[in-house]
Amino acid sequence: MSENNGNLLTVNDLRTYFQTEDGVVKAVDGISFELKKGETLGIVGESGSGKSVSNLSVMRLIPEPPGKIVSGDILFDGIDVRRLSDEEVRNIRGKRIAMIFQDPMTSLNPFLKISTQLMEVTQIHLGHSREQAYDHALEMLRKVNIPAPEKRIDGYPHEFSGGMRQRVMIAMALSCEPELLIADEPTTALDVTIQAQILELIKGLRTELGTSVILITHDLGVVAGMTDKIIVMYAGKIFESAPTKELFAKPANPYTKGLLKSVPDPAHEHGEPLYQIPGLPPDVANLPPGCPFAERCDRAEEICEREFPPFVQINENHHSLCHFAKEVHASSGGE
Amino acid sequence: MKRNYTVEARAGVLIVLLTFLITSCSTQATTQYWGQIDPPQDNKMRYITGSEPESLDPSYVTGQPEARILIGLYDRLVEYHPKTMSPIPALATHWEANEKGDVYTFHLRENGKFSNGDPIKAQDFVWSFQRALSPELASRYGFLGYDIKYAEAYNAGKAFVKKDGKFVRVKGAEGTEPDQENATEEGDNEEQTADSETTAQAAPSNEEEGCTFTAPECVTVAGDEESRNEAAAEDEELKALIEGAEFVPVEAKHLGVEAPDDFTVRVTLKQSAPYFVGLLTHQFFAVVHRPTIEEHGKDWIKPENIVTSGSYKLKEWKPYDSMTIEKDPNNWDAANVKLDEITFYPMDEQPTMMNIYKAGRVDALYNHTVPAAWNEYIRQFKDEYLLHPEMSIEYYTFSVKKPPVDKVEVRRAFSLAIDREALEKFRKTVKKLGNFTPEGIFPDYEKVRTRVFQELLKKEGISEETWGKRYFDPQRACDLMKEAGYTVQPTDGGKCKVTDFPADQMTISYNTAESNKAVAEFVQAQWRQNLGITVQLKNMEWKTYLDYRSKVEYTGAARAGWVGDYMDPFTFLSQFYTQQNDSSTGWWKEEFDALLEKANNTADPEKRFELLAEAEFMMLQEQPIAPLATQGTSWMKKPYVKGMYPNPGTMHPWKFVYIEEDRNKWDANVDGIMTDYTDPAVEAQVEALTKTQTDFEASRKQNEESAKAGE
Amino acid sequence: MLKFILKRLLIIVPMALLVVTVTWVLIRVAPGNFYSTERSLPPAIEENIKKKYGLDQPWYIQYGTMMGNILRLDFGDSLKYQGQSVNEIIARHFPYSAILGLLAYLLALGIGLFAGIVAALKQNSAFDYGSMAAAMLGLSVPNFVLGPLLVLLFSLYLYWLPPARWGGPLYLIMPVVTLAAIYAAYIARLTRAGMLEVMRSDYIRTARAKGLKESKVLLKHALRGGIIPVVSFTGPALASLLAGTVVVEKVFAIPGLGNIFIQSVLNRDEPLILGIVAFLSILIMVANLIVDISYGFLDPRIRYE
Repeated sequence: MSENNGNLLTVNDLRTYFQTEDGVVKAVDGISFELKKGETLGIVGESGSGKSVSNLSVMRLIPEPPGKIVSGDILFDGIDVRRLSDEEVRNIRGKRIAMIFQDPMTSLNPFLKISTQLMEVTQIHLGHSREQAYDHALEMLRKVNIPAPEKRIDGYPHEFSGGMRQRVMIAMALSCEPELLIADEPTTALDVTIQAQILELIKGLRTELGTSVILITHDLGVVAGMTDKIIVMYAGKIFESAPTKELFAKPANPYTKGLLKSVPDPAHEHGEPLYQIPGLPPDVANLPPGCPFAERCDRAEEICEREFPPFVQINENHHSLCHFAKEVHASSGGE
Repeated sequence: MKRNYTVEARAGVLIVLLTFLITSCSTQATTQYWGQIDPPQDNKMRYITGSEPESLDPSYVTGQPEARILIGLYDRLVEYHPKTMSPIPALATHWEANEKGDVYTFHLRENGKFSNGDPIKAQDFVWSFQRALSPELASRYGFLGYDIKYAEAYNAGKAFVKKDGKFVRVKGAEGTEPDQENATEEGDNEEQTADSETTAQAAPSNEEEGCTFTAPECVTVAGDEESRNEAAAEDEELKALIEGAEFVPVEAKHLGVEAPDDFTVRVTLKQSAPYFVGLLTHQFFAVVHRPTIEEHGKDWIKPENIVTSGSYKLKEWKPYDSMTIEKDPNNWDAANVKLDEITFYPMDEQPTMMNIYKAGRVDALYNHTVPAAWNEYIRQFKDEYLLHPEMSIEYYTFSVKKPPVDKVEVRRAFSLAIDREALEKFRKTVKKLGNFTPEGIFPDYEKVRTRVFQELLKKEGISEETWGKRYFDPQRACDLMKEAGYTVQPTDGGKCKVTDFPADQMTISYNTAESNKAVAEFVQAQWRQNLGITVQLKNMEWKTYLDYRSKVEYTGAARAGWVGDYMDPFTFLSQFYTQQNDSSTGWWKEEFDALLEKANNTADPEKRFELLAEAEFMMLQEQPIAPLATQGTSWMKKPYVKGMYPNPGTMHPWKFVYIEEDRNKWDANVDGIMTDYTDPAVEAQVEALTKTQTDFEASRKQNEESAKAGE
Repeated sequence: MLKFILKRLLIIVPMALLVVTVTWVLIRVAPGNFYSTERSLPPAIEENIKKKYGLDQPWYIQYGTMMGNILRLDFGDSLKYQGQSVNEIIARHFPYSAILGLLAYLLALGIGLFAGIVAALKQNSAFDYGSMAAAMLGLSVPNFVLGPLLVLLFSLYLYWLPPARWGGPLYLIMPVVTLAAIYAAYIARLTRAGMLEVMRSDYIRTARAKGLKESKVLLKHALRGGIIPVVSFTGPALASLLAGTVVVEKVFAIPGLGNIFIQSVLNRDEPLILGIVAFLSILIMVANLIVDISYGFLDPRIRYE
């Protein structure tokens, strides 16, 4: 039964691999994290880091060919998610764990009315009748601050603006008051002003409903104000995990430092070039034997290319995957 | 994982192989009969006659499919003998001709009735003939009646010429009497084209007679003023004739048909035509119901209006689906009509028809329904497959006025370079042909012709052996090419290569059809093998081709076929008659025309055949055509269908057809159905009908003899 | 939407007239005429015929008369089939083709949609390979081969079904299957491709993430988008269906309009040809309009001005 230590979600050494024409892609290669009730976890990384795949794995939304959860444990409220039957997983999806996605235009069904898409969630999970579901849907739309929802509820996704659509997605996801909300890059496709609104919305609802949130993004700025702790992923692995404040104040990994440096600083000098981490994200099908970040790391040394780095514990809640974790930790701060 | 397309491909191949397995049936006949063999129990026959009939108006339709239906629906003065197709009494019990042979008198039976019970009288025939030849009906078969006096003039809308109050008559024309003795000198015939009208002079005559058909023949000219003047501009005599003349249109009443009383029909011909009674079996001369036509106009043939005169009447017509006719109790011969109903299915796709036959949903098919490729297999069914000679020939025409085929030597060379026996084997349903009438169809004519040809060959100095080799004589072909002035290199086997022949100046043309293509390719190969000449082929769609060929727009050879209209060799030889003939060759000859005319004025059948044979020989010598083959009937009927014969025209008088339920009496070995055995029931039925005419002729002869004896 | 429909309807009549005109020109240009037979007609008889049918008038008068009549929906009488008006002939024979075509297309939809959906769901399974291979064959085997094959097996070998003609439901089985085959094949492949594409899309992922049953994901969410290629295929398919019925009608001796049409061209039966051409072109245009409209119902993103 439950061995949850008060954790809502425990992921332990999760590995999700994909069979492709080019070979086996180890999209997620041994990640572990925990999430307590009411906590907000941020997962940060570039494209191809495995951040989305890890969360899809939690909901068992990985398409079975070509993907497969190869090993690891996923415990949600003490339940072993991997062992559940299809029907049991479906009972959890949308009801206890909800997910919102990056592009609300493609994530909403263009052929169905908004009302239909909202109503079906509560109809299946809460047993609502049509009327109940309809009223509830209106209620949710109000909660996400859609003006005049009764006029708009029977519209189609293409009649809504980008920001509105994302609100609708949030409304849909929170309809059943799930315990965990996974938000996969919820603001990436929106422009900056709307971004802030959406994040505020999520924050507010989180407080109101007590939902735990996993916020996936490549944008450190987004996680700064929202999360309790952060995981930085790279090439399917966790490169650093730490409480938010600590990560920003004293990062222990060159990759994290690079990411932080890349955030544009309003106080930056005019005319000076913006910082970018040099190089490209790695080809996850053909990883080098050593540290996957080695060729892009400004701190890399010979050992980095030869040997896979250890997962160093800096302090109780702070870990870093690096040969020189402690040194980096020591040298950061005040930057 | 990549999609495994080889699996998909393998699955596909498997399905294909399975299909082939299903379809590969053996070609050996494993049963006596082909397909289902249970006869219908209700005395109703199902038949496929060909494509959908265009109309039920007997004087208007021209197609074979319609003709077969109309045999059942409309009676004529005479009808077809089921085997020989010669005329036997129908509505006319007996008939006779005058001595000159240009007036025929038919005596009608008195119990003839239309399908609505109205009696059939002589006047009905008169009206039917007049209508058939009327310009308003515009029947394409109008020319069938042109032997009747003024028929052509009436049909073409011509007019009589009156000068100084007197009708202008044909030079030297005499009046016609039913029993007149004198032989008349023929007046010139009027042509149909406006630019050659007869010349004539005012001849003394009985003016009160006007232009009746018994009076001496009146001259006619085009009825339309414009064409008349156009013709006159080129013809001085014509101009003089029409100058200041009055014109009286030729009307129906002038037509040489009359009803001296209710049951006598008398037909006056333009000139003697010994084949005339045989013509009258044709549907064109059927008797139709005047009140119905006058009341409904063009809608008279609709099922709700139509009134017929035959052994059957129309029961139901679902266009493109089926037409059913049922026995007419009002018909004079109803007691002897066997089948209660006949249903016709309109179809012309060979495989479909064969399938329906095999599945037992139809009892008989029409001619040429067996696809050539099936022939080997089907002819094993000896109790059903009928292959007998047909009144139809296949030949190639030459454009005789256009080089390089303008030389008779060239044409003959090409004709001799075709191996007709090989063609026979190749086509399977035809027999080789060396003359211009179908082999085996006119046995009496052929006897006379053999004799005449022998004499003529001797006269021309051609050996009989050479003549006998006209079916294939490559050696002589090469010699002829040399005579024509070309360079001939002999190759082995008596063949040769004509090296400087301008083969690119000519083609072999044909209308698109499988069999035509096969024959054209065959002939092309023959000419290449035997003469070293390769001629290109050219094909086009039917109606386009007709146009192209009849206007002689082709250069070289063109495929042609001819089906006789009546049982007399004249129907074939008339192809070349007059300058405006139908031959699509551009060939004509005055002496040839003269022979034909003389023949038709000869009462004695044997002498007549001699003249026809002379004409045929003359034409063959000039080689405007290369005869190829006599067609075979090639159709099937179930063995329980009796009284139905593979006669030369595949025309079935339905009153003789019946369904035999007793298996022991079914038809077998139908190869001999025309010669080896007879059906006593059918023979008796025919005998009963012909009796009236044979008795009449016998008694007439007796009277003549006793009259002579009494002198 | 209404304006759109009206605009399309308005253009149908001028288009049909244009088609008729072009056909008329083609008929006149093609050699041959409706009355020619093996033997050349005596000129007098040809004159009679021309006069009877008004063919002796100058061509522009003939054209004008013809057009005038057509605008009053009077196509005249068939030149070949005496006493039968063109309207009567079309009215009598079109139902056969319509029934044949409709049944065939419905069958094709039934088989094709089913096979396509199942193949998409069970991608790379035996069913997938099997049905797509069968579809490939359906596409490559022409109907004039398939029809006779079916007849061979079911009529001439097993004697179960009648080989041709029109009668009760038994007569319909083989012609409908023969006609439907190629469309079932197309629809199966289109559906499979459409469904696969849709199943990969984000909103299907969302639907699953909401915890919907797979069947609901399929039928409620995926189908709408997945069958759009089939809908857009229906437009041109209907046109080719008309052509397909011609062959099937010939092979199975069915008295449908396709059969009649071919015959009328071979007969050079001008009024009938023009009548059928006008009728068919209007039919196709209306059918395409209906397809376009239904497009709008299926996909809410499409709105017609």
